[in-house]
Amino acid sequence: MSKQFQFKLVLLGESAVGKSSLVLRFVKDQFDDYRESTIGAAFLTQTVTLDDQTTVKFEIWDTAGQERYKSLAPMYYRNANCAVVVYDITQSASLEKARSWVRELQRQADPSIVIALCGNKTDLNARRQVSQEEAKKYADEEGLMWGETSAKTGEGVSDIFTAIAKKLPLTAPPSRPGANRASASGTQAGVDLNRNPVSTEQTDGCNC
Amino acid sequence: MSSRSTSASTAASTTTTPVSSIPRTITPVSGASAGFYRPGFQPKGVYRPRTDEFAEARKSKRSAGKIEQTRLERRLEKLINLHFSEPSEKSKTLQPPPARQRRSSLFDLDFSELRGKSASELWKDVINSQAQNGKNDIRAAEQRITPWEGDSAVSQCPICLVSFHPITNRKHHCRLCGRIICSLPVRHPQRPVTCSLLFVANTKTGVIEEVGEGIDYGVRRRTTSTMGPGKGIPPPGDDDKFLSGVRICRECRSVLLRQQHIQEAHSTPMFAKLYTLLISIEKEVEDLLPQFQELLLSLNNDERPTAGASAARKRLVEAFAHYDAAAKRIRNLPCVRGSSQDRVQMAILARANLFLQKNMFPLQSLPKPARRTNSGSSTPSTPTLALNETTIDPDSELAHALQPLLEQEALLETFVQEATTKRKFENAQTLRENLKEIRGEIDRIVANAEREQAHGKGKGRT
Repeated sequence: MSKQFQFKLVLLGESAVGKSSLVLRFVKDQFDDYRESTIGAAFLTQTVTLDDQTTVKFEIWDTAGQERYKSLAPMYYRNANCAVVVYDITQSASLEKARSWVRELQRQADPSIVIALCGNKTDLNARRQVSQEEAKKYADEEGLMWGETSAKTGEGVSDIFTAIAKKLPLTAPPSRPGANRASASGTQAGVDLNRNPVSTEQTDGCNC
Repeated sequence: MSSRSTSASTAASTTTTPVSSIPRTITPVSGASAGFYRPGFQPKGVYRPRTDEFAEARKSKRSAGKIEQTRLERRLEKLINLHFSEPSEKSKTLQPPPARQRRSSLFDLDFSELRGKSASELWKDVINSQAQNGKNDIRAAEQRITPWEGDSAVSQCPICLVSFHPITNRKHHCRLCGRIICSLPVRHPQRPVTCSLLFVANTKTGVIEEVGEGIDYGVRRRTTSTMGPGKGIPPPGDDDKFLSGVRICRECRSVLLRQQHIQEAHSTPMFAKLYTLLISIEKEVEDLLPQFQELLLSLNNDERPTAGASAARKRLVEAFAHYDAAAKRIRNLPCVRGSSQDRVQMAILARANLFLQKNMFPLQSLPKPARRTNSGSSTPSTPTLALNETTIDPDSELAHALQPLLEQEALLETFVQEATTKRKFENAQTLRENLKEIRGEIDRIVANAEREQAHGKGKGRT
C-alpha cells in the first residue's frame, strides 16, 4: 500500500543567497535571472517519490531573508519538520549568517528537526569564498546534512531535497506540534475502493 | 405540385438560356478571355461580374432609406426643440399651464381637478381654454414640422386595425411620420405592443426617455428611466413637474432608439468616470512611492526629515484617502443586488483594498525619523488604518514588530484565495491555519503593547 507523508519544510538564510530560486528550481524547474526579493514568506508544495510505495509531500515555506522580516521566521520554523539553511558560496558572510540560523534552530525549534546546510550558486565556482571542506567540517560538527547546489543550472537541487526526504522519520508519523491532521500520518483517511460494500442487500429491489 | 414546379423551372431555364444567346452575354466580360465559344466545353466556366450592378441597385435603395431616416431624425430634433427646450425660451408661448397639446373637447379635462373648483372658476377655465387658442400654436408648429394625415381619410388604426371611435378610441397623430394611430393599451392577440408611445426629453441634458401612458397628455416624470439602467438620477425638483409627452407611432420608435443610442455612446456613465479616476490615482501612487522611498533612503543618515520628504508623505497619504473614497463611491453606486454590475463593483472594492493593504501599510512603517507631531498629524488622516484605537508611531518597536506580520497576513489572504480558486484545498487549509497563527500573533503583540502602554501610564501617574 502506498504511503504519503507530509512534512513542513522551511528555508532560512541571508537575503540574496538564492532561497526562492532554489525552491523555484525544485518545484517548477525554472530559473529567473532577475528575481525580486521575497516579501514575508511564500508557500509552495512539491512531492518527492522515494520508491514505488512512498511519496513525501513537502509544504515549503520560503521565508524572506531581509532583516525586517526576521520576526516572521520563528512562526515558520517553530513546527517545521525540516529546515534548509542556505548560504552563498561566493559570500563568506552568508555562511556566518547560516551558522547563526542553525544556532537559533537548535535552540528554538523542535528538537527532532532535520537541518540541511546548503551552499548555493556553484555555477559561480570561480568566485568561491567558502570552501567545500570548511562547510563540510562545520556540518559534521553540528550533525547537519550538507550539500552544494546551483539553482541556475539545477545541479544538486533535487538531490538535497531527496536526501532530506530519506532522512525524515518515515516510520513514525512526523511530529507536528502545531497541526494534528490525519493526512500528516501514513494512514491517510480516504475512500477504500477495495472494501466490500456492506449494504448490498438493501440497495437492490424497488421501492414498492 | 412539386414535380410540376420543378418541370416548370427546368423548362424556363431551357427557354431563357438558348445556346445562341450565351455568347452575347459573355462578350462584355473581358477582351482577353472572350475566346471562341464552344458549346459543351467551358474549362473556366462563365465569369460575369455583377458587383457594380448590385452596388448601384443597393445604392438607390439605401439612399432612399437614408433620406427617410435623416428626415425623421431632423423632425425629432425639431420636436424636441419645440417641446423640451429651456423654459426661458418657450415661456412666452407655452409655459404657464401644464402644456396640453390638444384640448379639443371636455373629455380631456381632468375631473378630479374639476371637483375642487367653484362654478365661477370652472367657467373661467372654459373661457380660458377657448381663449387659449394660442395653444393651438403648438399644434400648428407640430404640423409645420410634420404634415399630418387628414382625419377623414382614416377609419381604423393602420397597425392594429382597430376602428376609431370619437369617444372610446380617439385618433392620434404620430408627430414624426404624421400617420394616425390609436393609443389603446396592449391587448392580445391583436395588439402585442401598443401602437403608439410617448417620449419626453430632459430640457437640460436632452436625454430622451420613453414614458408610460397617462390619463392626460401630461405625463408624470418617472424617476426610473425605461431605457437602460444606470442613467443619472434626474434632479429632485423635476420629479413633480408635469411634462408633456410627445406621441410617436410604434414604427418610428427606431428613430428614437437610434437617437438614444447615440446619446448614450457620447455620455460616459458615472461608474466609468469613477473607475478612471481610481486608476489614475493608482498610477499617481505608483509613481510617487519609489520617489518617496528614495527620499527616505537619503534621509537615514541625518536625523531630521526634510520638508520635501514630509510633503511627499503627505501627498501620498492624501492620494490614499482619495483612492479609498473613490473605491467606496463605486461600491455605493446604485445597482441591482446580485447583478453583474454589483459583482464588478464588489471586485473593484476588493482590489482597491488589496492595493491599499499592499502600499499603505508599508508606508506607515518606513524608517522615518519623524517627530511625534508629524506622524500624529499624518496617520489619523489615513482612512482604513484602524488597527487599534491608538495611533502607532511608525518608528516604534511595536510598528517594526507588527509590520511584517500585517504584510504576511495580507499575503496569506491572497494565497488562500489563489489556492481555493485553483482547487488546491489541502494547500488552502494549510495556509488558512498559518493565517490563523499569524492573526493570533498580531493580536498577542497588540494586546501586549496595550498592556504595556496602560502600565506605563499608570506608572507615570504615580
